[in-house]
Amino acid sequence: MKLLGPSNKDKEIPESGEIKSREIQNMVRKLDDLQSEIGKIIVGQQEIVKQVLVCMMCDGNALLESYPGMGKTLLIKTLADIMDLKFSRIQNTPDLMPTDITGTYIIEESRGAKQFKFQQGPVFANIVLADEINRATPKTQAALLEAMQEKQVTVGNETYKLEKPFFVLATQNPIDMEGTYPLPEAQLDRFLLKILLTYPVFKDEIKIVERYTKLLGAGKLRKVMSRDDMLNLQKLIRMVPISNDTTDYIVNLVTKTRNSDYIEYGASPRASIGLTLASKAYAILNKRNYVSKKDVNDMAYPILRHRIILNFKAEKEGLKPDDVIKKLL
Amino acid sequence: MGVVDLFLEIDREKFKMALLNSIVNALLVFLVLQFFLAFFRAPLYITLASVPVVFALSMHRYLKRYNLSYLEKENPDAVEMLKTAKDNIREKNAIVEMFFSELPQRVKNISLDKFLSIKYIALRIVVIFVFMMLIVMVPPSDVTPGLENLFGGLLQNGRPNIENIALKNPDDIFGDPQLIKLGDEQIQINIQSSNNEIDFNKEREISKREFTRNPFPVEAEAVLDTPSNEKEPEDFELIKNYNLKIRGV
Repeated sequence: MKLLGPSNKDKEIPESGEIKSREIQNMVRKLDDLQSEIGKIIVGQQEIVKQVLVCMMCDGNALLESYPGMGKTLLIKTLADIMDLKFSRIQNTPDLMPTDITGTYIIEESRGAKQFKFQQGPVFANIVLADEINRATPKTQAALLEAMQEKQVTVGNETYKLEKPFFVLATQNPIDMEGTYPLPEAQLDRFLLKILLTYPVFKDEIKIVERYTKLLGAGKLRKVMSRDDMLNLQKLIRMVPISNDTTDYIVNLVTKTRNSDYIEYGASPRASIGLTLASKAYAILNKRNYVSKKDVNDMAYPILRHRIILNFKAEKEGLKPDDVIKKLL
Repeated sequence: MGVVDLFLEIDREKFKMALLNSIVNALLVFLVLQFFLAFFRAPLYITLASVPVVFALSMHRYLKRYNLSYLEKENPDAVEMLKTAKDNIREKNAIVEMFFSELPQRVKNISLDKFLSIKYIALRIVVIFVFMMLIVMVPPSDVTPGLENLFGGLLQNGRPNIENIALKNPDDIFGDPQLIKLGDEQIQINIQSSNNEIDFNKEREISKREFTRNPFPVEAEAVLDTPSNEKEPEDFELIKNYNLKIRGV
């Protein structure tokens, strides 16, 4: 079994875990460098960046809800640049077809012969930004969701595997919901995290204005992480130890969502798996090599807020999903 | 280091902390008792006897207190780490190995912080220092005259031991203070009270009396029962002459 070396892309982490702590420390250092490089472009929003990284490390997908002009595209594009990953953007509209996402066969003429050739769609990238996913029709949404879940695309009779790592960041606009197709709960459950992007604080907004009105174009970014590094990170986080107590705490929390007075429908076991994985990734990002209950509490909000449906009592009291989750914690 | 070894290590640390706290408590109690009992001229062994008692009680209290429930209550982080270690003891991967290698030091650092309350120990050390200074700088005889021989009288069968009496004012004009030993023989002194009786029926004018050089009232006199056979020490003649000389006699 070969050990991972920082400069050799061909080596992988073996299943037996013969990696040295030096390599783990390198990974953690790279994560730090990644966050500081992102900080050169994105002002503030450290928690949002961490949640996006958690999602990528867990090999999951994220749903990002924010108002327009909050830097969603900029964030994800910056990540793709720093990690040297292929990036594509899908602007969802009501007339978007599934083949516009997955790709389609085109007729290609070569040496006098015509043949069908598969033209890959924008989903064939490492990081896909699906803007305003609620604007696409359910059929188009389904095509993207299959790619998210299965990491593959079916066109006609052919199935095409997507290159790893594959990460979809879908966005939603909380206002302007007219003429949209809200994602059903079953589809929402496929997203690991639902990230809420709020307005920046005053100081951060001052910095944003200064940065983007004085210089034309973003600063130069250096590539601090490779595709293989991300794949190795995804394997590493599964090795993070967690106590039985903490696992019981997670399952107990998810179970409470099914028995709460404010919740109509609670979270599924997928939430328990997601919360465990996300807590492990969050622990690594916080430079800890074990899962703490604090990690679980911090990750509970993005994991659970889109998986619970509030009942009338909660709506009557003006409670939002985050308020109910806070009560459960 | 295995989890069992880690628990042994924690037990050792608990014992050390209990020992340190108990020693400080015993010393503090000893000094406080010594300071106050010195006013009553209590012998040292009374305060010394309190030391092992206080030490033993303190050790018992701290060892009972520093149990795993206390550790859990005061150190939730340490307990979380220990539980994670216990539940993953059979896991063999790089992160778990790293976790185990860092665990003892982390738990020790967190635990010692709670076991050893630096502020509390520093406060007690300051109090110890203060009492030490008080014991050195404040002799009990200066503060409570009249209570000097309380314990001494009881413990020495009513015989005042005036061997250790020191002059109050070392700068006395009669010279340097020194111990005056009056000898080993017993002296019986009979004091005859005055024969004056006050008769309230007899009134008379107040008679003017001249002040005499004799400082002692003539109504009170001491009569020696049997003469002492003891010879005066040689120095006494010298002292007597000196005193007469400085008084101008």
